[in-house]
Amino acid sequence: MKRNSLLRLACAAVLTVAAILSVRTGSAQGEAFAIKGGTVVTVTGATIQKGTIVVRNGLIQAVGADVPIPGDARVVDATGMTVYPGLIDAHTTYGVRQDAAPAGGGGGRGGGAPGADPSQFILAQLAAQSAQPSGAGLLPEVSVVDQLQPVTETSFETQRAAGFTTALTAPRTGVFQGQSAIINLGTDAAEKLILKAPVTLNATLGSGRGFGGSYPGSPMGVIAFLRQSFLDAQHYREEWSRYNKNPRGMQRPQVNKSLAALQPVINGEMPLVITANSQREIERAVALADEFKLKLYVSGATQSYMNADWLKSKSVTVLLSLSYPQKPAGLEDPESESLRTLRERADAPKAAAALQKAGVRFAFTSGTLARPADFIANAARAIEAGLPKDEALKAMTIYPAQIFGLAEQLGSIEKGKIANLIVTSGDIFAKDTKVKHVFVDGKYFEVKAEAAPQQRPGGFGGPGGGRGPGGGRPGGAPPSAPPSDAAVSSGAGLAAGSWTLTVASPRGEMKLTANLQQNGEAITGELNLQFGSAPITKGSIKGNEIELEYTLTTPNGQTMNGTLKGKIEGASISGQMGMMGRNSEFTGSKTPKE
Amino acid sequence: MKRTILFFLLTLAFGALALAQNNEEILIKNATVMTASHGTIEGGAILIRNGKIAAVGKVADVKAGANAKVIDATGMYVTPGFVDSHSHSGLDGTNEGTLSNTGMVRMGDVINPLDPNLYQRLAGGMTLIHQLHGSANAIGGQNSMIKLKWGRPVSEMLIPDAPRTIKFALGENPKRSNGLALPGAARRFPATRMGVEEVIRESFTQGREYLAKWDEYELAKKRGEDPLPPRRDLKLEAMADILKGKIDIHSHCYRADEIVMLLRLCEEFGVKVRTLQHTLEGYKVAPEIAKHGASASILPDWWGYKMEAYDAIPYNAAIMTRRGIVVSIHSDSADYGRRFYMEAAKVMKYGDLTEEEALRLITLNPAIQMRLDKRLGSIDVGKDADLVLFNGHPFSVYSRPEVTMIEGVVYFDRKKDLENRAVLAKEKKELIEKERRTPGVAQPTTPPQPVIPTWAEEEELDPHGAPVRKIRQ
Repeated sequence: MKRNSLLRLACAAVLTVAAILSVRTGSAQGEAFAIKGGTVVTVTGATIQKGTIVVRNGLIQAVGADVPIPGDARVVDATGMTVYPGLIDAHTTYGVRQDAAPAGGGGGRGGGAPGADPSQFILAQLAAQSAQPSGAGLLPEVSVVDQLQPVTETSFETQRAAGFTTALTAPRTGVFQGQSAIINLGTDAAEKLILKAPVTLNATLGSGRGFGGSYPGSPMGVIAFLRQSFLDAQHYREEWSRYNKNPRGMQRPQVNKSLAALQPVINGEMPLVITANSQREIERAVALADEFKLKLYVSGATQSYMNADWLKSKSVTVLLSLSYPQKPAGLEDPESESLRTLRERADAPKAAAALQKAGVRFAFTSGTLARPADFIANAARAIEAGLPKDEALKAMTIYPAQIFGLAEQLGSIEKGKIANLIVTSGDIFAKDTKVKHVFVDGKYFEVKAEAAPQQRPGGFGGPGGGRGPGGGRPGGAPPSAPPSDAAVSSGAGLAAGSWTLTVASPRGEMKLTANLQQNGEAITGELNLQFGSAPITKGSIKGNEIELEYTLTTPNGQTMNGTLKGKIEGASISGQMGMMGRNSEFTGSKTPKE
Repeated sequence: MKRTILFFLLTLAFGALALAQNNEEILIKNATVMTASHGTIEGGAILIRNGKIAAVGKVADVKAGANAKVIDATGMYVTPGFVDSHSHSGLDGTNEGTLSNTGMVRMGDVINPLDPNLYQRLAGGMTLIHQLHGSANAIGGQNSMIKLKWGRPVSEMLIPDAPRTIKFALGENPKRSNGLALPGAARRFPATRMGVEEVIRESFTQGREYLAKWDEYELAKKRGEDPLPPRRDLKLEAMADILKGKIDIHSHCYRADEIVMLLRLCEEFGVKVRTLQHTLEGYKVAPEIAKHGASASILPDWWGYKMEAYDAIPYNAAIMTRRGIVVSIHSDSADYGRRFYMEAAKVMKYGDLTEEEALRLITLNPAIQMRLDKRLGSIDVGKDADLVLFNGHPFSVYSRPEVTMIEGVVYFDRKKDLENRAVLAKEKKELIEKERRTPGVAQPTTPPQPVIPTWAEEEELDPHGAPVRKIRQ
């Protein structure tokens, strides 16, 4: 608690100082721009043809058709182009360290959150008796502010290239994931990018912490845990209000930072964001919020088209994911999918129109989309499915600003608002439109053609991928290379060597190494996982396709069998690793010989 | 297999189409009515009004209004809708197995009304299931009871003011004899049958202390004081409600010794066990069970699938019934749940139960165990019109349900189901075709964020204690 509030204070101080500096000095901060000649879509007011926007000190100084251009302003000619407010993504994990696991056992944020190695975490979990519950993933006092990684010039490059200048960012994992922040997607120090923190408390209704973890370990356990937490917070409130009213002669209640962090939530001051996509998960989230009279924002809400009117009646705010369900890659028999699955896929883009029609307050989020650029394309599909275009634009500008209490600073092109602006080659929802120029906090970013998002190999984010630094080079891994000569025949010992693999296991990324020897089509060797080594019991390579079976022996002497299937392309490998009845995607690369 | 799956998927949306008004009168006539409470009526009729049974008897004795919808059931048999006192279908989870007592979790929080198995059961004449927590721990979660109103929201499926029940478990599952311990994972207490007993005793003791705390609080209030209310603890609250008789115990058990242990332990705390579940060795201690007042729900002819199941006999149901115990058959299985009536038929062979006694095992008796017998479970005036129309005798392997209705509304109609398949197949084809025409570009997504990184899915035990890895859809 102490550290938390100190940090908050520090952030607030930084913000204040930054504000003062910007007014006084006007050096870098005072840089002025004039964007002239473009169609200015203000969102909150009328659209201005051939308008001019003057930007100074990070703010919009003037906007209109006949605004004089100051002599010191750099001019950006937007003739033939369109200017929009910078887009806001209403729920992301942008800027959050990839390794920011929930605070480890022994409680307390800081107790292992920074730099925790997931594999170490597993060992710690396994070593811990389930009878001694740790707080991991259950701490509402965790704040994303403490999980932000250093910002570099290329941080958020991909986001900016797709038109985003602001995002709600929240911790990645947990039942209580923790408290979120609104950040500008610029290149200043993380503390300077924060517009507001805390904004919401984020939670999930997932299946809990799984076996090997402690309670809760199931969907019903998670709900029971949340229910008990809110009951405890109510009791804490009662206890302290009695004490504060009349401390004399009363035993002092114990301070509990988790329950303290829940106070604004149970008092309806801080929204609770619950990620829920299926209709029934949404209903569970609403039932829980109803039970404790919480201010609920449902994030995801893929199937909200099924109960939009009901959500309106419940006064729920929706952070609607534009990550639509997709046809599984490599589906051999289309008939094998159920009619329901097909229907859900066909109906997902209708959610926005349904919410808008029902009058539900909503904003768009990129959800699990790894490429921010897909956001606009998917919003266009929502428009095709009946959402008015101006509503679609509002749902990524002024609506999220209103939802997060920042409508005075963000979300439209108005005098005095933060100069978060994008200049596009045309209508933002048109197919070939490109983002040309971006302003974040009045700072100019040119969008380079190369920064256009690339297809990432394997589909899932590789290490450092997607939402972290190096956004302009998604995946951190090399883009899928054309098969090299070596990949064509397996005879050359394609598989032999030492490989480092990153597995997207259902509960997080895991690293392992594979030391392989190749003899013709036979593969031998072993896999080394952090919690045991696994000799390969059977292995083969045909062409560039490798198939392994292995037996893992764990520190306590247990054995279990698994499989690994992958494709080798040059020095890269990707595929699926199977263990304990489930398959996980992996990518990896060969370690160069020294 | 693929075809079977397809078949059920195609029928998914069907329930919603089959809804009829329930305000009208429906007359089922010329049927053989197996009431499960007062014999079989040849040439019988049932009058349904507002979802309830308004009259039952010989055709000549049952008078319907002029506007009644008439179902001519000549050649058909009508039975009460089947009641499964032990099922895990229609749920998004089975076990909260992390602790030895998870009395705070509620299965009612995670009902999945879209589980195709609910419709499969409906097609097999089932109308009500008791959705139990799994048997991974000595005291599991609180259970839920739903009617299989396929296509309706959960709120309509739930029985209003349903009795509250909780799952207990004894023997190999809670002591984890069969479970797959994960690498490095410490064994959870308990590891023995004595430990299981101790968990229950300790939990009851904690429940008593919790009750005492609240009693003290109430007393202080009565004295005019303004005390701070004790912290509400949902787990201990459940224990307290068990002690107060507000929550019924339904306990998974196999062996005679542990059955007697549980009965004695509960008696020590003034608690009655409502239903023993599985109860494979119940026949050995039938007098003790009868004396305690517990009922028993069984698997008719399953044995030998694990150590504690070696002494099971198919005469179990008959022996316990003759000792005055209310016995039911349960499915505990998505498969058996859809041809439940065959399970009852088996018991006529073993132990010579009468036809009506056998029928009661899957209708009235489970309703009694779930304290719903005043509402349903037999074809009697005033009860819910939860009915199945069979094309032949329900205990014949050649028969099948043609219509299943709940509260007078048809939720399964075999004829309509068959007709509707072509419509659904066409829709599916069109959707596939539409996707083919607009392929789009695959959009990479980040995997759903985990709570903690670990390899393992949560452990699940199959109904009979064998470890399985359940991969959720």
